[in-house]
Amino acid sequence: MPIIVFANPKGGTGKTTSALILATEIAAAHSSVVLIDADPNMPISEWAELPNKPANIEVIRETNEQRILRTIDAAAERVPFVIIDNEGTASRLTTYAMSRADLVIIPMQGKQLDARNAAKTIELIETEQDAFRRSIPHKVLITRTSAAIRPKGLRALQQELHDRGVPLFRTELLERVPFEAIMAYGGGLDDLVPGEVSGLKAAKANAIAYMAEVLETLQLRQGATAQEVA
Amino acid sequence: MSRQSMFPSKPASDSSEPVRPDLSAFQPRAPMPKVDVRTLDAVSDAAGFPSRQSASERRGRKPSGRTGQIHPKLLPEAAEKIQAECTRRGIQQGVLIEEMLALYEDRFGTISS
Repeated sequence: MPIIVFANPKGGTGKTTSALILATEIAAAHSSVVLIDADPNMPISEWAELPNKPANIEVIRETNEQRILRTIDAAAERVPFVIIDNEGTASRLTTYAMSRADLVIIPMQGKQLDARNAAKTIELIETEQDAFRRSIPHKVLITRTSAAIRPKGLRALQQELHDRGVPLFRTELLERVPFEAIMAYGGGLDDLVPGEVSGLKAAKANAIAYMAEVLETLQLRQGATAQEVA
Repeated sequence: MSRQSMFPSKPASDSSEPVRPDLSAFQPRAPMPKVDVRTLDAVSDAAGFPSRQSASERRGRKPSGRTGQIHPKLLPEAAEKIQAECTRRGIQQGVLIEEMLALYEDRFGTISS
């Protein structure tokens, strides 16, 4: 049912990693996912060629503007979760994907440049909302933070986002070795061997908390939609 | 009767392992209404998210490849019939002339250009 879009026109903000973590966690919770790789660099498609891709994740590479809407719609009619990973550039593909989204997740690191591009994404969402008179729920996800150190710049940035009323995930995706490991070796966190990868248990807890907050946001959205209809 | 675990793949020894939620309430959705792509394009361009596809990949009529030109003078009745037939079928005059050529070649053999 939910269509979840990852967008930030800047590269290296954690879109692919956070999309992949969400998809593999949903798969590990025994649901089915279509993961649409809308990034011409094909990071998700490359991951799919590695061992241990869960059978309940189907990866579709789709970078064509004429086909992306049909691809999303067809996937949403087949499986409960559709996740779209966009390229780190300002592209019409992102706009198209957002038009179908139940939730847009805007990953960013705690850096001013990432924040500026997150703001650009939010501007696009607001314009699209106005044009189609449809609410597009969105949230900024802070990625690659340190579990031990909280830089002053990050704190200031979070405060600024909060003050501006930007919806922000309470959960941050921390910089964890297992998150990089699944990109490099394939599969999900359950496929990693404890002892061979440090911080696996903490990474799983982080990933599950992140998934739980995504689901909570989607359920709040469903509730709001039901109220709007009523 | 013992209740089967929701997560049989997880090792039973580690009780502090975080538990994943039940997602069975999420199901595939019904078909969604179409979206106005022209408005999407306008919104996207205005927000600085332009098309990244080359012009040949973009939406629109594909080039027909019909770049050759002839300028025949016909009897008015023939010209009117050709025009009427093209209008009826919604095709260009060049398409009809190509079909005529194909029939001619079927009857008299391929013409070498």
